[in-house]
Amino acid sequence: MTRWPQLRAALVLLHVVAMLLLALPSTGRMKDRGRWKGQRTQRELALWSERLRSWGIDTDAPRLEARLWGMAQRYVAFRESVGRPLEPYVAVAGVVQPWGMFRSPQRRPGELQIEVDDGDGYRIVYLSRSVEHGYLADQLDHNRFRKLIGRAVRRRPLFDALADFAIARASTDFPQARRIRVTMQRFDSLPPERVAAGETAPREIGFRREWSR
Amino acid sequence: MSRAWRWWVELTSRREPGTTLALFRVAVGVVMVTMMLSAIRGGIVDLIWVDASEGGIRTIMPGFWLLELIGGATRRNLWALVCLTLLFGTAMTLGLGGRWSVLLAIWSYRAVSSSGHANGGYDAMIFNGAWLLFLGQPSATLSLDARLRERSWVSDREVSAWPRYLLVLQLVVIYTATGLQKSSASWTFADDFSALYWFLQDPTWQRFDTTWSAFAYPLTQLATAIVWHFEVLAGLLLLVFHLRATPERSGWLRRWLDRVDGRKVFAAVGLGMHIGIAVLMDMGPFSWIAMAYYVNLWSPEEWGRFGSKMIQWGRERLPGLAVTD
Repeated sequence: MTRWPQLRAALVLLHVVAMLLLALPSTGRMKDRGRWKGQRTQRELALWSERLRSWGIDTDAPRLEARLWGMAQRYVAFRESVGRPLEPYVAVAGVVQPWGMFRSPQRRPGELQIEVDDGDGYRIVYLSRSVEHGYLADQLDHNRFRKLIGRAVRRRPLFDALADFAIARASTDFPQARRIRVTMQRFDSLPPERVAAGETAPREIGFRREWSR
Repeated sequence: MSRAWRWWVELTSRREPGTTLALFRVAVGVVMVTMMLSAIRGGIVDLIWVDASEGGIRTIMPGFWLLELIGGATRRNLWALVCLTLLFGTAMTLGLGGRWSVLLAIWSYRAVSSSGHANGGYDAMIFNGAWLLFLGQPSATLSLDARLRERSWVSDREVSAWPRYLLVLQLVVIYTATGLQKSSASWTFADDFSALYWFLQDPTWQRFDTTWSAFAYPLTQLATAIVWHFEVLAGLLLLVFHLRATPERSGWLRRWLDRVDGRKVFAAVGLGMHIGIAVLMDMGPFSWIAMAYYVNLWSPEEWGRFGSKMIQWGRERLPGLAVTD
């Protein structure tokens, strides 16, 4: 029994070490060259290189990216090696430490739109955050579904799965519909002065899926 | 044995009444059950957690051993797991079944929500908080277990204090890690602290029309600066605890923190931030589970004194009510 306090202290220490190591940023995105070339990351690289130049540091976005890529890959190797021994504990306990929340705002977000054509042309039945067009809003506006839609903005397979569901439901709920189309609309978020002036960002088609009876 | 190790063994051997851990247990249980009920009410269980072969939106690769063990994300499995989460989550909230109802609640909930495309940070906050409850003695007091054991809802039975310390550390780790990973220039002066404004323009998070944010842009900048600095500097909370735990030593910082109670400053900023998020953005139970962690900043004795004050307050204002200790 006298050894129990020592053993307990050791086990608690192991949990603390696991917590701290697992809280180090995960590596999936860092290894993904496609994400580095994505619009959001490139915008950040441009912003940071511009700021660094204003401080007298000789760099530009491509050079900054190359330097950060090299550092990130060394970090990935380190993070994966320290995370591996903890995998059994994570698997049993279910404890994870994914705290990369709200890293970077999406300045070119998307909104989901569902349209139905009864023979008189398309009419909108659902639009993200619209009070007026609320078909399937119970599901599509649920916070977990919002995450799914938010991720489908950039991922075509996820959008296709989402669109297939929306089309299947709408084709049943609107039996008179001749055509249905689901669109992920993209737009550039406008800076405050343009929003205050009453401007609305033009929408562009990101992904679209159409169905006809 | 080194001095540091002796200190660590002494720290992890401390015991205290189970009030704080019990309050946290109730809060986590309520969030878990409410979230599951919200998914059922929204009609999303079949869509996001069930495999495409049985009507779900996507192919689900089991991300947790239990789901794999029972044969994957079939409709029947998922609904059984949802019911088990509700059952054990309710038992956990009521404090029935001790740590085992907590463990079963974690496992069933983890198996339900192992689908990666619809998860959030709040899921991990629930798993981690509940796991530390499992490792502690979560139903020593304010529980059906106490009622059955001692014929009283409250009990003086002592529990290990280290789970509460780890919950405080977990809160600090969450904030520090998320703050340091906010790599966008928009979280800093490099892009004018504009992050919150841009997040408010994203339909994913909007609770209502956010045109107003253009007119309140300086306020969103201020809020961005506060949030980022609060998160990055959250580790100072550990210093606050250290200084409070060593009152025999001197120093102006210790004297000053004695007067203002740094925990209250931390809680005022943190809770203000989470209430702001809950009002302005739809992030599910994120703010609620984060705020639940704050319970652990105060010792069981402090919660006991607070409870006594509330009872006294109730007696003075509602003399007709038979409030008993």
